[in-house]
Amino acid sequence: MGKKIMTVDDSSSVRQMVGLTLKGAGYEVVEAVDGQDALTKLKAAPVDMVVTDLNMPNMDGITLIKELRALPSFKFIPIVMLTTESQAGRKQEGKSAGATGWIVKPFKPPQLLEVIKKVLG
Amino acid sequence: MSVEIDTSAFTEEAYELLSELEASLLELEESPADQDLIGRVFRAMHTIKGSGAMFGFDEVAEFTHEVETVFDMARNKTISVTKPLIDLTLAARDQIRSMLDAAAGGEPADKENAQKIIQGLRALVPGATGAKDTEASAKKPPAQASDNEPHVYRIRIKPNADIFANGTNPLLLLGELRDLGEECQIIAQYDDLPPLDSLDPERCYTSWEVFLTTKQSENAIRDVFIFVDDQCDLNIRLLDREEVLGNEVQKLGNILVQRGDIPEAELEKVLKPIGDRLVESGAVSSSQVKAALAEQNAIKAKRDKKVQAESATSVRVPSEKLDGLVDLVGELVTVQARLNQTASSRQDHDLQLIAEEVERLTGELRDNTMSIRMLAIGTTFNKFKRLVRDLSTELGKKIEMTTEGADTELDKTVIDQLNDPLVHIIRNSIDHGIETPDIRIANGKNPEGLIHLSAIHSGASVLIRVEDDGKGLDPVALTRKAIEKGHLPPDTQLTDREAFQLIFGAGFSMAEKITNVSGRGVGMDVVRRSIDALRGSIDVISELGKGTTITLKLPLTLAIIEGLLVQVADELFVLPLAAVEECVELSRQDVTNAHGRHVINVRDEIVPYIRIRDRFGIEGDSPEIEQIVISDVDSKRTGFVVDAVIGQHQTVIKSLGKNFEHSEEFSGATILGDGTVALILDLSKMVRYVEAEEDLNEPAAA
Amino acid sequence: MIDFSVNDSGDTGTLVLSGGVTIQHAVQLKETLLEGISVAKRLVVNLSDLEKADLTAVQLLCAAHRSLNDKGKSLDIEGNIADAWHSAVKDSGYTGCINTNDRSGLWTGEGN
Repeated sequence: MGKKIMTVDDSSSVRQMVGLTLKGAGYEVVEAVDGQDALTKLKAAPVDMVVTDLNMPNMDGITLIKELRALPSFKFIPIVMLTTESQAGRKQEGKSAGATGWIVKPFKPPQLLEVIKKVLG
Repeated sequence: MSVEIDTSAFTEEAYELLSELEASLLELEESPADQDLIGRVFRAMHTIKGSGAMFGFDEVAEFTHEVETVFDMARNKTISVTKPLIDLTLAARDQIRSMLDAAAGGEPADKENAQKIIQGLRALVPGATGAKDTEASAKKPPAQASDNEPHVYRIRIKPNADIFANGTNPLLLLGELRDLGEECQIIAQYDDLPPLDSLDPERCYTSWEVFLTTKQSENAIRDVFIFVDDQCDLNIRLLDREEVLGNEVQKLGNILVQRGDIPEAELEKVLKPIGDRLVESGAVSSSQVKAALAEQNAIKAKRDKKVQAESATSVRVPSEKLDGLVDLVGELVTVQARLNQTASSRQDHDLQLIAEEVERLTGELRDNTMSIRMLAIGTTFNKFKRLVRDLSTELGKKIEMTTEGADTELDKTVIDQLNDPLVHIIRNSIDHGIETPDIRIANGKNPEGLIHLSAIHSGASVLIRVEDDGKGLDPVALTRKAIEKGHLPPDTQLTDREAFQLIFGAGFSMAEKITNVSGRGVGMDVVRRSIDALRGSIDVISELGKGTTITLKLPLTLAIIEGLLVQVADELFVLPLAAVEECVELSRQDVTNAHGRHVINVRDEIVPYIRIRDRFGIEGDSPEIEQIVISDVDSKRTGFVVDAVIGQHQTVIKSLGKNFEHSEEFSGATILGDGTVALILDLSKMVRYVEAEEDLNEPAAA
Repeated sequence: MIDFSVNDSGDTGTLVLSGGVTIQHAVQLKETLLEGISVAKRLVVNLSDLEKADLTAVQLLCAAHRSLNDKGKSLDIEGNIADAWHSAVKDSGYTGCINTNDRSGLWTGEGN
């Protein structure tokens, strides 16, 4: 059974791209449209890893990471954030919130998989 | 290896670096002591120089070298960052740009200007230059890896105890190290591991010493730890090959140092670099060694660059290729719809399955393609920093520009076409909006004006705002001016909002005198046209004396629209789904109840509607029960009456072509699966037209 | 999965680690190990169905092994040691947690 990864992004195209790439590599994928949605879904069914955008309505990525780290079942799972080059500060903010790593947008499927492999194995 | 060198990769990268350079310089002007920024400026120039030389842009490389040399001194704090230095470096940046333009077939770069810049830069350096190069190279660590030969690195990793808390699994990092090289020995240090009863099971008590034999550079090793560089102590040392491989003394020596049995300095003494030993043995002279080291350094620098390019996170392709791809995807979507229709009409189960699969793939392909075209607007924002700086200096105004939402993503086509309108708007703000410092002080304002540029997603749109705290717009003066110019009939009464929209009229300028910057009466009408072409809208809010905010509302992408497909008689239309709120039925009885007025009561709210059938003069009788698609048009609920609602339809927009560019009630067309064309309705324009006509016909009607 | 039981005579405790034993289970593993060390003279560890172990498990077993050693108690292995354990030991570089007196084969990396 493949590991389950949640992709959180308010852009459906990014979700689809991430989802498709991960499915292609044998992972199971669940999607959420923003931090709030992700949190609700994750509380119901945990995953092995979370890939989240930072800028999202309702609940942004940073808050999501903080909320997740406060939950026992998400204390230690890898959480990777999607950032853009211009967000150096946000990267630091995300790391202090508890993010494991980051992927700089725009990215290509192999780069995404490389990062997943790096943090999830 | 290909012999032919494609220089476009270099020029594209260089242009990008130049804009980065510009942004960094402008930031540096704000905080001249920021070493990070100085480093960034230096690195950008260093890369331009390095790859410039590699791609045969010698002129660029030589010139950049001169600039870099001076900036290197700023980096080493030999000189400080001053306004003249930044001005000259900015000028140098422009010079490099024109050199690149020249190489691409533009006008030849001004060589005298280049000389002037170099002389200016040299003048900033106290005393003579020249001794610096050797000084710099002497500072570099002596032993560096050379190409092709595997080398042995000693990597010490001491993670913070709480490293697990970020979801990091150190074993994966060690595994990655192992994968880097041919031979890898991992030795855990767990002397700190406490007895079981006092051990916190969720903390890391282990550190490692790894001996890795690899052809990879130190950078590649560091890259393994990219996510944890602030969560662990990392120490990488290149050990001399000969000294480590098959040499037990070295290993023993290391172990001794690890255990603290002998200080590292002692060990270093024994294990001198091979160069020193050769010199001692008289085999080579010390200068020969130095030269060899310099050569090594050069090779290393080159290779580092290569590694960087390889590990870069993006692949650059010319945008035409992307446009071509989008067109093809558009065609594919159309063909796929046809396939679906054929499959379902044939009642062939197998064919239907294939069609469904194709549909799924096409959808994913389409979304992927679209997402590739999405770019952050930050680059565009950065360009304006320079614009604001240059213009405000020229006009003797003090202006600070702030930005927000630079990472907001938009379709590349939208971003490309957004540049000019934004330039016009910002120019206008600087020229007409922000007052000169003395006037601002007289009005009790901060002498420094503010321009705030922001971007934010709002549903399927992006809102881009340009706010200034200048003198604002005077609706009365605007109206008067428009009447004077004959744009409006005399005695016209306008609301403030309507009056503000006047600034977008053709040939309308509020400038009292014509300046270099704006005020030629061209500009803002161009803005309106550009934004219309992008299917966007403009909103102006202003308060006299306080400032003006111009908001552009733009679609995320131009290529695709989520629509609701509806039918009137035999005609098909698409309504943008983003605007659609609900569909309700309209019976003959409802029409009778409304006593001939085009309104319907939807849950106690009176909603006006437009009959598409009447609007476009479509013949035939309407069905007993019609459908009203209730939509949000310019913040007002409006219904559109159709015969039937067919369903949701994601569609690739085709332009209507020149002949129909005046049919403003349609924003485009789309081709359906069976080859039928459906027109896409521009709801807000339609409402505006209908309102205008009603005003003429029945001015008194409620 | 962490499963611990003590035999009727009370001198041997058996710890069965199966499936994934990672940081999510670290607190529980520590408590179980502490209990095992205190109640029994001899701790038997069964790793034959272990599928995944991480650094926290390695650290804990190493600390437990050392404690047992210090107390003159023994740690024995029951059944085969799954490859998952050997690779965790190898990946984490813990070969040699107990330098002397390691009859268990836990730290020698055997079978890999």
